Amino acid sequence: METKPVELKQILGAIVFAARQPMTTGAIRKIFQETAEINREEAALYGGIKESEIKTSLHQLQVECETGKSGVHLIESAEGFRFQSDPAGGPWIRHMLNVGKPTRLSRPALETLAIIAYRQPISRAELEGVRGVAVDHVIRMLMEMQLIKIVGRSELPGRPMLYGTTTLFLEHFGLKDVKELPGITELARMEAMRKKQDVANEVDPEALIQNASDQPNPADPADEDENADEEDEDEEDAEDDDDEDDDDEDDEEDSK
Amino acid sequence: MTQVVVQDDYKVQLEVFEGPLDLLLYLIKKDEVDVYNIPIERVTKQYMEYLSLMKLLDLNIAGEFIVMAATLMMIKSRMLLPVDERPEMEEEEEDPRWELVKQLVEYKKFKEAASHLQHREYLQENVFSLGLDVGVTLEPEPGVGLGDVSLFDLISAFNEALKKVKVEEFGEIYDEKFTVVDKIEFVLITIKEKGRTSFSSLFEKAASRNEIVCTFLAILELIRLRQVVAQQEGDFGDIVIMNESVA
Repeated sequence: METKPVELKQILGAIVFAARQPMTTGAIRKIFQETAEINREEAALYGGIKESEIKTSLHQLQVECETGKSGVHLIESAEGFRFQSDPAGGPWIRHMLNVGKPTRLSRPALETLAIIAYRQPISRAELEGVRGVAVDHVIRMLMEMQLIKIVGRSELPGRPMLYGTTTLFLEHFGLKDVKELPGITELARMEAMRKKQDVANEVDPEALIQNASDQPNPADPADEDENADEEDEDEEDAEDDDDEDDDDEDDEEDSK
Repeated sequence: MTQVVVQDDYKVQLEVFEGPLDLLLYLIKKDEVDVYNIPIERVTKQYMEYLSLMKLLDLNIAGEFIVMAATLMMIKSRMLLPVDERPEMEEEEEDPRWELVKQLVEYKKFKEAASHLQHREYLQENVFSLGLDVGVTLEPEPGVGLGDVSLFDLISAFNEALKKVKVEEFGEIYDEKFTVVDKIEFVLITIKEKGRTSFSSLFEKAASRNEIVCTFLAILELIRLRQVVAQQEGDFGDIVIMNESVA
């Protein structure tokens, strides 16, 4: 065995290039493992490789591609590693592939999208609170573009839908993860503060109304004590309030 | 306010997706005033001015704009009163502007985040990859032609053009000579000849408010239909209108 053994990054680069789709480190590790089982000779070389080693080697390759100005970048997208063209070549490639003008988003759409990306999961009311204007149209548009999706429902009264960003969003902006967005922790922390405030503002009047409407309610004083304590409990209270309201309505209908 | 009747034959229905906070931030940036110390009187006055311009253009103004106008008025009046004479309000801060300032500062951060996203979008549209559809195909969205030019930049330019018009003489009744349709043709022909034209030059020959309104609505409609693109040379610089394919 005089020949130099194949370097790990060589194989990795070849795999990612030939894969024609983004490759995760997990998938690559599996390929190494399976190849080693079938082909016990030279390919057995990296049979027991760990994902972390693959990752390190890929990151090294990534830097080499970048510094080499080869026109090709290795990037880690939301779906895994893949090769892509250097943005500098954009105009020429666009002409070659005959792709028209790129589609871009308008400022109001980008702003709404930014708020969703930073604050997800977020309800429409919260969005409107930040933007100070109705967002129905923009949301519908972003949904059609599949840049956002419904990720669940809030526990708040009315159970409003909550929106979040999609994988397509990450791809469109070349992001691996929303955590890559600058200042995400700062804006998220502000959210926590604001939420607490909102809950305090929203729940208190309801509790007051409840006090007024059904007087003999032994649970109320306890409720108020909890309000001061924790956010989670507040939300549960809000839900409880809602349920009770529903019950009241049912009673009325029954009596009719 | 002077009423300008825009002819009915071509009614432009423009949705406004910007809100009152966008307008306030625009005014603050334009005047280079400190967000934390807004000269409320001046800003309120300007805000009302823009609101009437938007009404003049018959834009679909969201109710939020009116609510904000009321909020500004309230803050203004409360600031006139000495602290101990202000009517009691629940959890009132020292400064009546504070609630609004907090909202503006927060929104401004998201505007910056949106700029970052826009930058990434421009970068990403030049990236091509194996195993990935060529770019992400999105439906063309109205308003994209505006690029970095905000609606309020356009309205400012419109206001400038309006100011240049001589005061209309009353007493004589002219035919309604201008329609948005004519002006759309005029703008398209001008751009076809030169490839691009400055926003203000489109209004140079305009003689009346009515004509300016028609021209302006024509430009807005062309932007919406993605026939033309507006670009601005630097912050608050001159706005250039150009062919969609040139940009």
